[in-house]
Amino acid sequence: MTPYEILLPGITLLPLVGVTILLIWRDASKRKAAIVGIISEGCALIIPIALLTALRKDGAVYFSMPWIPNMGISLSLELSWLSLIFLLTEVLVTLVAMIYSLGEKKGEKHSNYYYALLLLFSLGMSGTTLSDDIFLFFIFWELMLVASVLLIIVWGDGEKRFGVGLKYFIITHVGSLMVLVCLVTLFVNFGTASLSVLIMNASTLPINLQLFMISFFLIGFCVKMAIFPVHIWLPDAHTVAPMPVTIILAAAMLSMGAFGVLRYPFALFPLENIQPFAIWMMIAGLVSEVYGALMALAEKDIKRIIAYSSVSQMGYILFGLGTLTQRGMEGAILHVVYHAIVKAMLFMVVGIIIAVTRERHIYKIGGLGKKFPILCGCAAIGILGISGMPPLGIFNSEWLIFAGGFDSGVSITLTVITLLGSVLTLVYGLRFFGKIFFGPMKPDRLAEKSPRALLFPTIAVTIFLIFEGLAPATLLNWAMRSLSGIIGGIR
Amino acid sequence: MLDLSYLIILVLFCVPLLAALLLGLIRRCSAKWILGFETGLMFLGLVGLGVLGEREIATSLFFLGEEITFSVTNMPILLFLSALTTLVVMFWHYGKKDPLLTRFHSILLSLSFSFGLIALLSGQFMIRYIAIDVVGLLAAMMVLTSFADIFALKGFIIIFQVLRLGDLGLLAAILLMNHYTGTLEISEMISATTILPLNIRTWIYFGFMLALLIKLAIWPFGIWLQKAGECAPGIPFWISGILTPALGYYLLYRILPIIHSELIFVNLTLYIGLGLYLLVLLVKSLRLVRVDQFTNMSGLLNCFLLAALAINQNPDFLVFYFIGLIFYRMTLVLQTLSRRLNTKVLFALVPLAVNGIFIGVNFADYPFQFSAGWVMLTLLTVMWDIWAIRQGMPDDWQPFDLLREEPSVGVPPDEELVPVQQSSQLKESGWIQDGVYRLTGFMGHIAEWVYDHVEMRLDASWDLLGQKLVHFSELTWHSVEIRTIEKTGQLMDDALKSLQAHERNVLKRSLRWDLAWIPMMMVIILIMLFVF
Repeated sequence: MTPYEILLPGITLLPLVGVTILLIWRDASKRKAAIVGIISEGCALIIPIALLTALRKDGAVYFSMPWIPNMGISLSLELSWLSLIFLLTEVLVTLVAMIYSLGEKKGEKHSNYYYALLLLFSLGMSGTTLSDDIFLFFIFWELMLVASVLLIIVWGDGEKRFGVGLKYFIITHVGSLMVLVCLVTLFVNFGTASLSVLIMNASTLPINLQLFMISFFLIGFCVKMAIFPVHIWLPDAHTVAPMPVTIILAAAMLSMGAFGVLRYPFALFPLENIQPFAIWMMIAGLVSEVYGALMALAEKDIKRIIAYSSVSQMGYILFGLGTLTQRGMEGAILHVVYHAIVKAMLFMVVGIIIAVTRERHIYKIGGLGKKFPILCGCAAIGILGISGMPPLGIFNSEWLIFAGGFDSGVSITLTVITLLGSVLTLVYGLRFFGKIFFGPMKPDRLAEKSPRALLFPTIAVTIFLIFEGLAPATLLNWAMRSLSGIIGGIR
Repeated sequence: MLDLSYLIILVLFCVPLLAALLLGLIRRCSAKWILGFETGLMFLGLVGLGVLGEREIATSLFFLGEEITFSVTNMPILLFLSALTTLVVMFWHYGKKDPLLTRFHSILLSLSFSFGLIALLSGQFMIRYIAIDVVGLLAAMMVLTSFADIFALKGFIIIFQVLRLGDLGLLAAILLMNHYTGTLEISEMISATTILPLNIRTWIYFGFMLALLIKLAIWPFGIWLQKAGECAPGIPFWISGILTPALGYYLLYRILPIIHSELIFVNLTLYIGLGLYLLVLLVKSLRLVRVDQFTNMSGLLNCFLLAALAINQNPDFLVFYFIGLIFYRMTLVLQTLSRRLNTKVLFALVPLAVNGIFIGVNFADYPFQFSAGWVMLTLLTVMWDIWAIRQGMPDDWQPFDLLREEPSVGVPPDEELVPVQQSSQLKESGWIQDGVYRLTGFMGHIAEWVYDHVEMRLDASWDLLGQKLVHFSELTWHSVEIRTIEKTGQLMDDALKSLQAHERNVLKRSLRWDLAWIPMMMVIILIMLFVF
């Protein structure tokens, strides 16, 4: 076993160590619990970066040890270029959310459990991206759900949180069950849970079974991505959840659906069998893009506006994936990362606005620009970023997604409509920005200044967004490599 | 070795960026001095580029996997020089009496120098698109003067949304061309596009036309320009009124081969130009809508431009026409804000001169019908302009200094931006100029309708489904479940009670040490099992 192979499980073990410490240390204050969480997550972030050398050399890093040998189930992890992008996004977002949570008033009670669950939530996502075993994958996939549901139910806002948590659990679990059906089918047919083995053999399955599984996989993962009309869990869950959880949900967890699409149906089955679903994915993406934008335009609750914008942005990602072209998929992967950064930042801004105004209704807030210029600047960059304004990151991903749309040869009209539909993002973005930061100052009683503990991480993410937009070469390079690793024969 | 032209471009790009940074960070810097220095530097640099000659510059820089290149030709240099000259004239005209040129505006002007240069000199379409998009944003931001000014915000939203829509049209055209030609190099792309199938070229043509009509601000695509003029007259208007159309002119010049690749595009361009010309005359003379004199006249002249390009025979001469139009726009700015009627009438003769020279030089090359039509329409335009001036041009922007003298009714005296607000308030009577804002509102209504009728119903359906399931469950297995739970609970209670009774009995008895070997034996067996 090479040192790299020994390091790999550390990505999942270090958060587990953090969880154990937090469970034992019951009287830890919020600050101390947060520090344990941040250190665990920070160390988990260092490992994939340290593994970059091995990744460049070998293309992937593996770790495997038997778990239930009689059933062919093992603790197999694989760090590929694809998983690296999603893993780094997820870990970074969790880290930022944890730092941001220090300035929040949520999670004061039972802080150790709060941060332990945040770590488990992150662990679920890390495990999902790293698993090379379908059994392990599903365990991590569900861990992600259970941890987030508990966070919403226990630390969420208002009495509705139980209902919302249940709704979120049931709907996303239905999606997970569809994925499970496919995983069990694969396991029964090949007698192994190893994803690497399944990828080599899945194309030998009968064509009808393949089509059935592709459709189930896609629907299942679309539920996680909150694509219209299976998005119905998202607005409430995002609104009720405490802000750090909302940040992780919107910026990281939604993209797990996109990862699932790339890692399972796209990696398992040949391109010609996925082709019949391409146009439907593109249409679903377009509908979601427009519908989410319209809902964001109609919403009055500032947190829900940004929540609905996730439905819209996931539409772009699905559209990009649906193009089944190199550029479209690269764009979709880049969009996952950029969306994560922008969305985390916008939710942070919303959190600060709520903290200083104690209001969430957009008509009850106004004129904050003069009193909070830095916050206004961050919000402006966020809104321009999400609208695809160059040179901020989302422009790069949208460029590739739309180029992929034309490359797909499916329909020029469809791509042109999707492209022009992106103006709707600007419409709801400017409404959000204008109403909050311009006009007469509202409400009458405002906090004197925005909390530093909330503002500093927001500024840091804003700077990161600008930097990522200006220097996309590394990320694009990773995205290109990740696609060559999972799909052959892409045009 | 570093190409001198490349070095000049780098300096001309970076210095205004640094100046903007300086203006933003150091309060003591004099904005006017820095702007003056930048303008001078741009002049020198552009002249230097012109002297060094036309060339293609390949850099070692890449963005999104595409090489960044520059294409230095005389046309964009002359266009930018003309635009800068108009800025100098505007500075000279306003002198110190332009309070609207704040530090914020100066920063935006500096940035527009950098990105305007890239938008004109980039040899690669992606970078050019980025620069054009940024200039559009800067043009929109120019109207923002205060967080309290809702009317300026409204102007910003209209300008930015309309310009962005045009840019998206441009983006669609670029991506489509890129897909079929496999390159982003403008010259290669354009020449390869001319041989593409007609349906593809039609998409590309309409994408470009949408972008161009918005950039050139011909009514009704020019509503953004009117807002820009109303909200930020004076020097801040330079980006919207002069630089943005200059970028549009050059874009139009570059896509000429596409227009000329098919007779139908030539005719379409001609008809679009003529159709819009007549439309502007009609709506303006019938007073159906409120179109200010700047948007109106510059739009009419741009209609001439479209016609000239459509049947163009001499592309090189176009540069003079472009420059003529840029200077004409400058006179329009000065004319709109001038209080003396005589000067205004004099300015109205400028289109006669510009169009006259153009047709005079090209007379031999153009069909007689075209030349005759051109002359007649030019005369009509000039006469109509003079008539409008004599009528008093009620649709003009209000010069800010005049407004400043008006009593500010209902506005607190300490409010800095009374003139802008009042100016905008005065102009709220029109209906079509606010089209975009109204369209946004309309989309908002649609969104609310969808929200109420689809999203809420989806939500309600979910609740209903849940309730039905609960109800069904209560009627069927829930009762069985309850009974089972009760029964098992009873059984458990009974079992626990009997266990308790048994335990009490056991505890009463004394321990039987004679049976102690049994658990000891079991422990030994377990240890042996584990070891072996």
